[in-house]
Amino acid sequence: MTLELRNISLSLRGRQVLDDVSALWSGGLVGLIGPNGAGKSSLMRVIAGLWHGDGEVLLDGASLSVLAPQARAKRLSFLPPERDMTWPLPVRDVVALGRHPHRGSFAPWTEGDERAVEAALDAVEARDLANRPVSAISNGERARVLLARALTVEAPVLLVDEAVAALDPAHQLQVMEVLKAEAAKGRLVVAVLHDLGLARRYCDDLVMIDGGKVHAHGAPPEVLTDENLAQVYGIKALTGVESGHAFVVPLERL
Amino acid sequence: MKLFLTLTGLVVALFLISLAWGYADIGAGQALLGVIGIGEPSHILIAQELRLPRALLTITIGGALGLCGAALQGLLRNPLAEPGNIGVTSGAALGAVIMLYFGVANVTTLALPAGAMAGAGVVVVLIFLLASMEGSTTALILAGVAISSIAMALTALAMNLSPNPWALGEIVFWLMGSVRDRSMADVWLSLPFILLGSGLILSTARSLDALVLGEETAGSLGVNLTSVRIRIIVGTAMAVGAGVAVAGAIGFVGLIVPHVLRPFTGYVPSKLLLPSALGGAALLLMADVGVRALGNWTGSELYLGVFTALIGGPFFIYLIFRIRRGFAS
Repeated sequence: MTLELRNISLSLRGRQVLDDVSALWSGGLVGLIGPNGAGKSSLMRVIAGLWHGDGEVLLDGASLSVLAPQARAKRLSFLPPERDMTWPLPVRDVVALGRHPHRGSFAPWTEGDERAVEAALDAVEARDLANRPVSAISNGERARVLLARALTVEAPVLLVDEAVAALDPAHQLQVMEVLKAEAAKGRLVVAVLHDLGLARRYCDDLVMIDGGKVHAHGAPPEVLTDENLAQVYGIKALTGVESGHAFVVPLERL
Repeated sequence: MKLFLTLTGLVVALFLISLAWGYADIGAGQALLGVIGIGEPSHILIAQELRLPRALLTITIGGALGLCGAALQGLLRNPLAEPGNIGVTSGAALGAVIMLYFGVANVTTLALPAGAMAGAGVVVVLIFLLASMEGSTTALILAGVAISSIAMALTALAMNLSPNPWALGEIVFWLMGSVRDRSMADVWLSLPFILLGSGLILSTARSLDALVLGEETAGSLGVNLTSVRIRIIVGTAMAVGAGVAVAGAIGFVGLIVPHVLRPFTGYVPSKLLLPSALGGAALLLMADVGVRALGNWTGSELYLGVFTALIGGPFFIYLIFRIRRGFAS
């Protein structure tokens, strides 16, 4: 399975949001990093097929733009940053919505659907929440439940925008482990991240975006250099390795 | 399933009551037999020409309003959306009045429903554009208020300029909403559009479920948002427009019914559609039996639209207060 971005450019209301972004991934956990407004979320939406710019997104060499929406949905699962839900559905029903691309208009609920829901609930350790209404759980719990919803699609590509925002440290690590485990199953996971330490430790590959352009691309230590952090974020950070664990701590603005 | 059977039973029971009981002094048994053509000719006439069309129109229009309410709430992700309070009904009324005003309604009976459906369609499109520009509940309701006011003002203008003062009274009373003294012709005129519109709306059921997660997630799950919007807009315009064309403006059914039934469906939008249609039919049948009971007692019948507004208005205010406290439960 390979996902290729070929010269993606996008303009919104006359503003160039993405400028000639290219990349090729064949699996693993990919982190998209960059300052606010750099174009990370826009790039995710283009990959997910929600927005259409110039250039092409190719999955196993075939252009996504020619796929029917349902076929595309089976192969790309997208978790947007929005977390608001209008109705207080039970958690299990929310997670089950991820099976939408696999079901026809009148197809009954199958055992395969049920297995996918159970596996996803287990993966984010949310089984005990299954029967609670989404209105009665915390924001952090809702973030995990929505991640489970995205896992339920069982797509070869998982796109996650801001998965660890609003989570406490333990659950941040838990979500990163879930994403890592999905990648270990042979999936490609692309995650927008703001926590550089998590990006450094968990990601196999980092794409640093600035002003709609790829500023740096490669293994985390090669991307998170003092020079890149200064140029893109305008910060000085403490980086290093302590007892085998890499860390990145932002120290001051330059 | 239990909910479905309960509601179906309720609709059947109320339908029979609606047939069996009315102003004419005939027994319940005579009226029910009269519907199937058994008994004295006068009883058959009353049952088939007065009671049956009235009960059938109440069921189909109530059902359409309940269904459209549930679908609009699902699409706009807003528990306050309803054909009446977002201006669809007023738009339909304006469309119909324009047809009456220009005399098109005299040329063909189809002009009235066509005008009403066109008016309803224009309003749903406008509401949708306004609500999707700024997705908040407040924006939607304000847009609805504004569009309703414009439609009502234009309706008043048409009546002001009306060259025929006798037609005026007719329009005013029709606008208040009633299923009184309707004929089977009205049923046949509205039924095909209501059924077609309802079919379009029901075809969006699964997509409405995905929309629970928001438009972006629904899109990523393969939902074709444009198609869903078009089906619900056209379906609502047809169903509500046809209803308004024969029975005038009847509000709040589409607001109350989905709200009451939602907890029983686990808040899953697709499971709410059919129960809302049944619930709408039941509520309007109840209201219609109610106005007849009041009419028997006081000697003059309250208009059905006025009656539903008297119940629905306070309910609407209550809902606004609840929604300010977070989830729409």
